[in-house]
Amino acid sequence: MKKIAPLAVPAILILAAGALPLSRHAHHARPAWTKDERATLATFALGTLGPPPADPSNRRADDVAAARLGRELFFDEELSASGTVSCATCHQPGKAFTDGLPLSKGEGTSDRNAPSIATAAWSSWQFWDGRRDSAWAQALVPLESRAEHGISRTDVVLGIASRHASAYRRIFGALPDVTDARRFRPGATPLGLPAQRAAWDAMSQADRDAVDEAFANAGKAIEAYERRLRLKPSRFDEYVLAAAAGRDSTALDDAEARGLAVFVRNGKCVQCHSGPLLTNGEFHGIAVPDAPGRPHDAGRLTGVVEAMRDPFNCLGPHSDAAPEQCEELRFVKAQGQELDGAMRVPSLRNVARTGPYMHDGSMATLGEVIEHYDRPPAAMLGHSDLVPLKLGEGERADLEAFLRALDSDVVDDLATPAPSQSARAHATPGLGLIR
Amino acid sequence: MPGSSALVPRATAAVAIALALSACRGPAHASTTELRLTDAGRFRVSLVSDVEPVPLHHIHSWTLRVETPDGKPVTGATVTMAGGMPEHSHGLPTVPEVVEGAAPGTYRVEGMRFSMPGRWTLTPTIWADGVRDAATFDVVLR
Repeated sequence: MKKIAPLAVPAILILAAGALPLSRHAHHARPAWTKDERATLATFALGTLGPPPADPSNRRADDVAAARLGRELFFDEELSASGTVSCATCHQPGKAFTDGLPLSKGEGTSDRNAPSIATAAWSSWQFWDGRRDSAWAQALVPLESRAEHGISRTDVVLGIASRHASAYRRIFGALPDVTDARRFRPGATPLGLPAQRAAWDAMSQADRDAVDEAFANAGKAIEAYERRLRLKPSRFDEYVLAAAAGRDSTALDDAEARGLAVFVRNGKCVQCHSGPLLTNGEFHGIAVPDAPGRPHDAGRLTGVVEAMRDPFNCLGPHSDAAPEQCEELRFVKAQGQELDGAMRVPSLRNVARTGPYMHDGSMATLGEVIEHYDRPPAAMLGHSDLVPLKLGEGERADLEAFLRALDSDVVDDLATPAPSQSARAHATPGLGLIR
Repeated sequence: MPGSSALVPRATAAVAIALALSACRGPAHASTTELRLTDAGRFRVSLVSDVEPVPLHHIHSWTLRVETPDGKPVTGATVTMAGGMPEHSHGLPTVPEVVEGAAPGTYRVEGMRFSMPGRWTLTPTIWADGVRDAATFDVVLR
C-alpha cells in the first residue's frame, strides 16, 4: 500500500521524539537551565565577590601606602641570595601570577607548584597545604626558603633599611638600627642552617623581636599589595548573569555552555568549585598520586599543625588581631584521616593560564585533569572525594572548553609608577591591565 | 532507637523545608524546630541556626536547646558537636565549640561552617546529670 497507515504517523512521531537528544550523553545545542540551576549560576557571578574579607591580624591590610611598599618589595629581586629572584619570579603578572612551571624555580627548585596569588586575599589559608593563616604570614616563608629567595629575615630587614627605609618608616615607624653588624648579622634566622641559627641565637632577645616585627611588617606590606589585585569579569560572568535572569547569552559558545552544564550537573565540579572564585576554600583529597621517588605529601594533615605553631599566625605576638577574632584557628579541624593528602581547592579563575596543575604540577594539561576526575584512582592514604563520572568524549571536550572561558584579566591599580619614582632596570610593569 | 523514628521525619522535613524556603526567599526570621527526643529518650533537644538563611562557607553559630523529657531546661551540660555529609563520607570542616548560653537550657554552638550544599547531619552529644545521649539532625542546604 502506498498510503501510510493511520497508526504509523503517531508511531513515526514517537520515534522522532525518541531520536531527540534527551540522554545525558547526547548534545543539546545549548543547555536549558532549571530554576534551581539558575540560582546556582547566579552564585558564580564575579559581581557577588566583593572586596577581600577583613584581615584583623594586619592593621595595614587596606592601607595604600603599605600596598605601594608591598609592591616594591614584591618586585625587588635583590631580596634574594643571587639578586635575581623576587616574588614576581614565580608569581608573574603576565601568567596570572604563576610561572607556568610544574615546580617553581627560584634559587633552587621548589617541591610545589606556584599558586596564582591573584585571588589569595579571599582565602583563609595559604599554600596548598594551608600551612599559613594569612597572606602576610605566607609572604615570609619563600624569603627564607633556600629553594626560593634563599635569604634570612635579617637580610630582609637589611634590604629594607638600604632600599625602602623612608617608605617603611612612614608606614610602620622606626626600623631596628641594623647598621650595627655585630648585633644584626646577615643570614641570621631561627629557621636556617646551623650557622644561621647560631647567628640568630647570638642576637639579644630584644634584637630578635625587633627583626621579627620588621619582618612581619614586610609581609603585611606585601599582603596589602596583593589585596588590591582585582579580576575583571570574564565571558563566563556575562553568561551567568544572563542565565540567572532566564536569558541566553552568546558570551559562551555552544561547547562552552554545554561544558558549564557538565560542570554543575554530572561533572559535580560545583560541589567544591563553587562561588565567584570557583572554590569553596576547603581542603579535599583527590588522590593525586605521590610522584615516584618523592616522600608522601600529607598536605593539610601536616600543614594545619604548622599553621597552628607559626609564630606569625593570628594568635601570635605580631598579629594585630584580638584572639577572639581568630576564628579559623579557634575552630580549625586538625585531625582526621581525610586531612591526609588533602589540598586547598584552588580557584578556577584563569585556570587555562595557570597550568601545570595540582600541588606538584604533575598534570600538564586540562585534559589530564579532566581524565583524573573522570576516572579517579583510589587514594593510597587518606581519603578521596572523587567518584567515577563516566563522561562522554564530547562532554570532556565541552568541559575543557568551558574551563578555558574562565580567563579574566587581573588589574593591578598600583602598576603605573608614581612620578617621583625613578625608572629601574627591572622596571615594574607599566600597564594597569595585566594579561 | 524506638520512639524517635516518628519524630525524625517530621523534624527533618520541618528543618529542610524551613531552610529551603528561607534559602529561596532570602533572609528570613529564624524558624524554630520542634523539640524532639534524643536517641535513648533522656533529653528533648532542638537545634537552630543563629543565621538565616544558613550560610555556606562562613563561620557562624547555632543554638541548641536541651530540656528534660518533661520540659525542664537542662543546665550545666557538656555538649560536643559532630556531623558531616554521609553521601560524601566526610565530617564537619571545622571543630565547633559549645558554650552554655545565657538562657537556661541553651547552648551556643560556635564555629560551625558548611563547605558545600547538600545533606548534612549534625549530631550533638549531651552529658548532663550523669547521663549521656545524642540526637541527629538533618540539614539540607541549597
